[in-house]
Amino acid sequence: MESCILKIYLMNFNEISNVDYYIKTICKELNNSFSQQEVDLLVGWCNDKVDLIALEFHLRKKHKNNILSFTFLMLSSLAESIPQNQHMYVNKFKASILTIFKVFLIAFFNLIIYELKRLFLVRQIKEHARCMK
Amino acid sequence: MYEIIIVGSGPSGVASALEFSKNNIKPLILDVGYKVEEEIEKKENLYSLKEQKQTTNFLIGKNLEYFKKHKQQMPAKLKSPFFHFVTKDPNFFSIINSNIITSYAKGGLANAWGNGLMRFSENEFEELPIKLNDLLPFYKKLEDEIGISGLNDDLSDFFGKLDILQEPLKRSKKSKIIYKQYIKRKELLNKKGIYLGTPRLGVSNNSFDTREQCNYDNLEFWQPNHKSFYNPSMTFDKLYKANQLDYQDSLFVDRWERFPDRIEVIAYDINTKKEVRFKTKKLLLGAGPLNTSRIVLKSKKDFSSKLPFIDNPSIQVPIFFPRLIGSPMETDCFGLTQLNLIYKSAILNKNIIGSLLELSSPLRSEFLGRFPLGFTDNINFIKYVLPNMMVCQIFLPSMKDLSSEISLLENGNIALNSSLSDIPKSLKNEAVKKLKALGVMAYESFASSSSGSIHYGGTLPMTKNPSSPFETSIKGELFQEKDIFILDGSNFGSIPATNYSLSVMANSMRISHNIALNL
Repeated sequence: MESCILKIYLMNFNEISNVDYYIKTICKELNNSFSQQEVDLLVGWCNDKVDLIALEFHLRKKHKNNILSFTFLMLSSLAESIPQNQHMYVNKFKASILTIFKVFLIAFFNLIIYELKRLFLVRQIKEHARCMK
Repeated sequence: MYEIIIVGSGPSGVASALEFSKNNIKPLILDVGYKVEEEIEKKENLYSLKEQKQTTNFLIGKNLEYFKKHKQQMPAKLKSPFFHFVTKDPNFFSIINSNIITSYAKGGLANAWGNGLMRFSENEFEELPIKLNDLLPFYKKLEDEIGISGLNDDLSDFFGKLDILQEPLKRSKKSKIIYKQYIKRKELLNKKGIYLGTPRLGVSNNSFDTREQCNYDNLEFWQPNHKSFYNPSMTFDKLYKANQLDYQDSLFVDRWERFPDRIEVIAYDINTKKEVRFKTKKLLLGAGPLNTSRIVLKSKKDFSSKLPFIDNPSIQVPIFFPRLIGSPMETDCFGLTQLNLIYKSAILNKNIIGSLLELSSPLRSEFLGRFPLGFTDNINFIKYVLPNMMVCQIFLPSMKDLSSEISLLENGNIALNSSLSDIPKSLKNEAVKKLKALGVMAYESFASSSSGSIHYGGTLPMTKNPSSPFETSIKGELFQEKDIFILDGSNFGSIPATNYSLSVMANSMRISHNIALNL
């Protein structure tokens, strides 16, 4: 469990001090907030090396409250509380049209990619559910 | 034996004590009365604070308390670690099948309210057995006590024209844009029944009494007992210091028992769980609609009756300002209601009220799942698009189709029987249409709705001729229960769209005034 959270953490953020402490607390919080089955599923997904961001995108479309979005929310909030990460969340100066255009273009491009990945993932998830039975 | 015992130190309990103090009567207030566990006072702005030092403990909590309320879908303000005392539960009973939020804190849920304090308009009393004139003297007393900010503008016909209003808050850049657009097309919009104006708030641009002027620090969601925001605890402390009320905390009131010459209030010490009894001549319940109703049901040993439980359904519509995209984030604005919108709904034939909210106070990550993109792109949108957005929270009047019922189970728990249906799509579309008329970008597909907005009431409604054991007279007295009075939102059989906080407080004062006259 701890290693899977660490993987997600490493994918997105830097600069969080007391990593071990937060990982332990997050694991505890996940265990308190979700059923053991859901937590096991999360660990399974991480070990399967599924694209977790695409999976989160899929789960959020299906269920608002899901374990992966919650994990991402926790990691993102932790990162937000660190001074070094403020530039990720707060735009302090006027951004150029080029920057905004780039952000929208990448978001649009990624949206298409994630929708395609979703199609693939749905098959994988169905297969996973079938095996679990 | 006490003359008067009030249960609950929230808005209705404090308003009642205030009225008694004006009549030289000293009541005893009983409450669990949780207080903030660690007094903190930040002087910096939220964003400079976040830039200067690690704020994990302050924003999220040493043990990640921020996330503990995630599954209960708590509003962001109530998730914040230093606001946990507001929803801390002494665990004497549970509420089954429910997301109802209760408070046992000193000051009640008002510790986390949005500070909107306005009168009901005349036609909003249509479904209530009292009239505007009945509450008018008490509205005035409260307005003098609180020091409400605002302007006598286009909304005065709805919120009342006040002789003295405190200096309103500075508007944010986006609010100025909307208001300018409104002024340009005012005549046309007013003809369509759309009005926009300054909110009436318990926070102002000047200092008032013991309250400090607003410093636009964006700590609305993080700093408990913020010195710029009115909270009934301020009035409570003033009365307590002046020896105008007695107070006993750490007590969970369970029920009352009636004797020929007195009423006995049975409470439990939350630490020792030992029973404590208080004798009184009159008992006033202001513990919040859920707890007040539980005390009534428990005292009557009624495990079969189902009491109606109503709330204001709400619709949240994001508003976009495309010409501001790329602008830096405004980090020194009031992080709650900037403007109020009022329009007449053709569907409900009632006034609907909207609060245009700035989004600068919550954690940025709180919006992570709100954009329809992948995780990393959503973070980019939080940085570049979110600062150019506001949310209009539309409050609808309570509706029978969207109400629930509560009942007491024999094990002491409360069951909520909800027959909730979704807010009709037509109401969402109407809200978006009215916002578009103001010249802002808003889309139906982004609008979300919720069956409640923590404005609970309706369980023990006031009626002119009460006929059931769970109705109260206009004087607030429970039917066939002499000297038991209901002070809080329980006695509002219907809740109009306008925020009911000030009206609940005024009604509590009206009831207390009548009691004081007859003592």
